[in-house]
Formats: sequence, C-alpha cells, structure tokens
Amino acid sequence: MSADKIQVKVTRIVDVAPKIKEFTLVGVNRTLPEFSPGSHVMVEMQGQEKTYRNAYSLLNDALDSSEYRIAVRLQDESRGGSVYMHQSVKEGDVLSVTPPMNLFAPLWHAKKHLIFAGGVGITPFMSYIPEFLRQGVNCELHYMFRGLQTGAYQEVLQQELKTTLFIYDADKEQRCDIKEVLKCQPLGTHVYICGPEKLVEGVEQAAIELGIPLSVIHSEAFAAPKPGTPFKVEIKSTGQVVQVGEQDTMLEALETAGLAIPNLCRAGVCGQCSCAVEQGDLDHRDNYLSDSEKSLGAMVMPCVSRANSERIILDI
Amino acid sequence: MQSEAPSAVTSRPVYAPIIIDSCSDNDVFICENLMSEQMQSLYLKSKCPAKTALCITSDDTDIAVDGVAEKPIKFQKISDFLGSLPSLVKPMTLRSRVYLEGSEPFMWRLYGMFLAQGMVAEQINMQSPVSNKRSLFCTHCFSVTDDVTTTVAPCSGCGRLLHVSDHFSKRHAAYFCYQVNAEDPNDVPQVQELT
Ligand code: FES
Repeated sequence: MSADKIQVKVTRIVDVAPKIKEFTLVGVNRTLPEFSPGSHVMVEMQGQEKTYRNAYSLLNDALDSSEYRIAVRLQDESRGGSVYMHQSVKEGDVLSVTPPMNLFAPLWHAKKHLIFAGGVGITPFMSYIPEFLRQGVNCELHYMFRGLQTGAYQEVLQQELKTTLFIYDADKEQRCDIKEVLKCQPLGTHVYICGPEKLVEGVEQAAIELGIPLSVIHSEAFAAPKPGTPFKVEIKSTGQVVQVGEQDTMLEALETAGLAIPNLCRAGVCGQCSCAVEQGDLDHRDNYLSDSEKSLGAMVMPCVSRANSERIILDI
Repeated sequence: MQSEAPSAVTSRPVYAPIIIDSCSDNDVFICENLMSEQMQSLYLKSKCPAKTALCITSDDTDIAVDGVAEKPIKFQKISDFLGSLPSLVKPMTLRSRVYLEGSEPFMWRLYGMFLAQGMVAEQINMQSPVSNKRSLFCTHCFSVTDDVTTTVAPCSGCGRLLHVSDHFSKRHAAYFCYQVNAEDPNDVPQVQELT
C-alpha cells in the first residue's frame, strides 16, 4: 500500500444482514486517525496464497474515530477478499488498514441531499447522515436492496431520517421509480448514488431524460475489480514479464512481482495507479479516464482494467 | 512602458447559440431593457408549462412585446428584482432553465444570483452580450468600475489607470485589471477601444 499502514484489532463481528457482516476495528497501541464523512479505508488481508486489499467505507459518525466500523458483503463473484473477511477473520485478529481517504465527500453547500443507495452501497452514507442532521440540512434517502441478502441498518436509518427514508425491498416486489423521485427536486439538490453499476446508470439515464445537469449527480460505484481472461504484462524498462491470472488484478500482479505502483482507491476512481502504455489492446474498466483518453490507449489504471490482447507493454 | 500586456491570460466567456431545452419544467427569460427579436423567438419556442419573461430597465420605456402572450414583468433595477428572486425560484427544480440577455456584467450578475439560489451553470443560458461594455475589477483597491469600453481606463475607486485584461471573473462579473503605469505615473499609454 502507498500510505502508511495501521494495525487494527477486530473487536466485534456482527451480522447486519443475511450476507453482510459488520466489523469493529480499534487501533493496536495507537489512536486511529480522524476522518470525514464518506471516507474509506483499504483493508489488507493476508490470505494463504495472496494478499487481498479491499476498500470499505467507514460507517461510524465521523465525530467519533475511537473505532472504525466497516460492513462487508459476501460477494457472489468474489475474488477472495469478502470470502476471507466472512470466513477467516475472527474477533481478536489483527488486520492492516490504510489511513482513511475520502473520494466521495458530500457537497457541503447543497441545499438538499438526495441519496440513492443499493444494497451494501448504503455504507458511505452512514457517515453522511449524522452530519446532515447536525447541520439541519434536508436529506432524503431511497434505499434499495434484496431483503434476503442485504438491507442492513434499516432501523437506525428509520430513527435518523423518519419520513425522508424510503425503503424498497426487491424480494417483496417493491421498486423505486427513480424518474418520479428526480422529477420535482428543488434547486440546490445534489444527488448521490452508491450501489451496483446498474443503479448508477439508471439514475444517470433518468437525469438525462429529465434534463437534469449531470454536475449535480455524484456516484461511487463500489463494484470490486472483476476477474477476466489471463494476460501478460511486459515492463518496457526491464523486459520483465508479469503474468496476470484470471482472479488477479493487474495491480496485484505487478505488486507481487515486486513493482511498487502508487495507489489509493484500488477501484479505478482516483487515478493514482495510472501507468503509461507502450503497446496493447486495453479493456478499460475505470471511472477516471475520459472516453477519449480510453480510446487513445496511452494510459491504463491497473487496479481495475485489464487487457484484451494476450500481452501488453507498460512504459514503467 | 511595455507596449504589450504583460499577461496574456484569456478567460473570456464564450457564448454558444442558445437552444431551448425541451425537458425544462420552468423557463425564465430575463432581459436588460427591451426583449430582442431573438429572445422573443426563443420565448415563443419554449413549450414549457411554466414560463416567465422579465425585463430589468432603468427608464420608463414600455416593455410590451408583440407575440409574447403575457406582458413581461418589469423591474426598475436589479436590486428590485433581487427582492423578488426567492419567490421566482421557489417553484423551480433541477430541470428548470434561465435565459439571459443584456450586457455581459448584467448577465453575469444575474448568473451569480441564480447560483446562490442553488442553480448550476448548465441551467443558465446567455445570449452573446448586446454591448462591449465591461465591468472592471481593480486588483489594487477591489472596486468595480462599470460600463467601460476602453483599455486603459481609470478605476472609479482609486483613480489608477488600469489595463483591462481578458481575464474574466465569474464571481465578480468583471475583468481583472491592474495599473498600467505603476513604474512611471506620467507614462500614459494610448487608449484603445475594447472589442
Ligand atoms: S488506485 Fe485509484 S485508480 Fe487505481
């Protein structure tokens, strides 16, 4: 990891939904750094065969950093991180985390915050809401999930938001009419989305159809890097060839090969891991590069992106 | 005396032709003085369920416009209009649009007022300015001098002779200006018309 690691002890693990476990972490012989609403930490997990690094939002009120709480959903298409957290991590274990980083802070000047959360995508908003309540700013949450799998924290949200919480359980055939919700939002509203890509796209599409400027729409696609076809990366400066396996990200493979690539989010958002590309057909999966940069193919974000060709050459 | 401006910073706004947004639920057209034919045709093109035409004029000109169904609402000064702004924006949403016409300082002052009400830049459309009048922001005394059509021009606050740059401040609705003859106050450069 690029930032200094912090050793934390897992003091409590609770089930907060059928497929979501909440972990409480406290610093080992140190106090934890303070954080702002919307922050996340990267958790490093020492698996048997490899090291997993996953980003998790901090759930607690940002006024209290005596402990960190994170929620982990057992992912259906997991590359191992969430399975490791669910099955191998026990109370009393020590893990490494990065200091908190914030790539999804709310717009503090907004007159109203309108939130769409899908499943475990509720997590970054858990730290927003106490601060919104303290500031007395208008906040409306539309929370969509499958009750047989996710849907954590409904009670606490109900207590906090009361009539401005709207719950949709797809397992009970409850659906959110996103367009209807967006239609009459007053000036000064900012819209936040966290959840599956389909939700992000759905809200953006509805906004476009309604003529709502995309500059008021903010999203955090929490999708972890997806597996893909194996390929080889050649390092131009040394000639070294690194194999990227089906379940590895390019960044993980480079790190395992001893190459230190700066990184922050490991989710294709921050742009820190950007590598120059000498040659190769790329499968861009990040949200950092623009469409024209992607089609140019001169840069790649190895934390999420892959190759379409068998081999690519990185100019690093 | 340098003959060329020491800084060639250009951040002049560019005004693209206006297209009426058919998704809008509330269109507001605001003109400085009379509504031009171009603005009238935009007003007529808008099929928005709620639309309002406003004119801000400092004289007694009759602002009635043929073809514009309701007579535009008239305000004598921007400050009068400011008082009515909260009730104007109350029914507006993220889908609403504002269309502005007038001099550059006029439009950008209104732009700032609408931003303060929560609107975002994409919701505010401006016609090309109807005159070359600029407001100047003096970087020495922070005064704003209105209705300037030349560079160099004296600052209304401190009297310094100012070079008018092309560096526009959206926040101040004015161009940044600095003293042209700080080294030698007797050096008075040629006055040029602004474009
Ligand atoms: S680490 Fe943030 S984009 Fe790759």
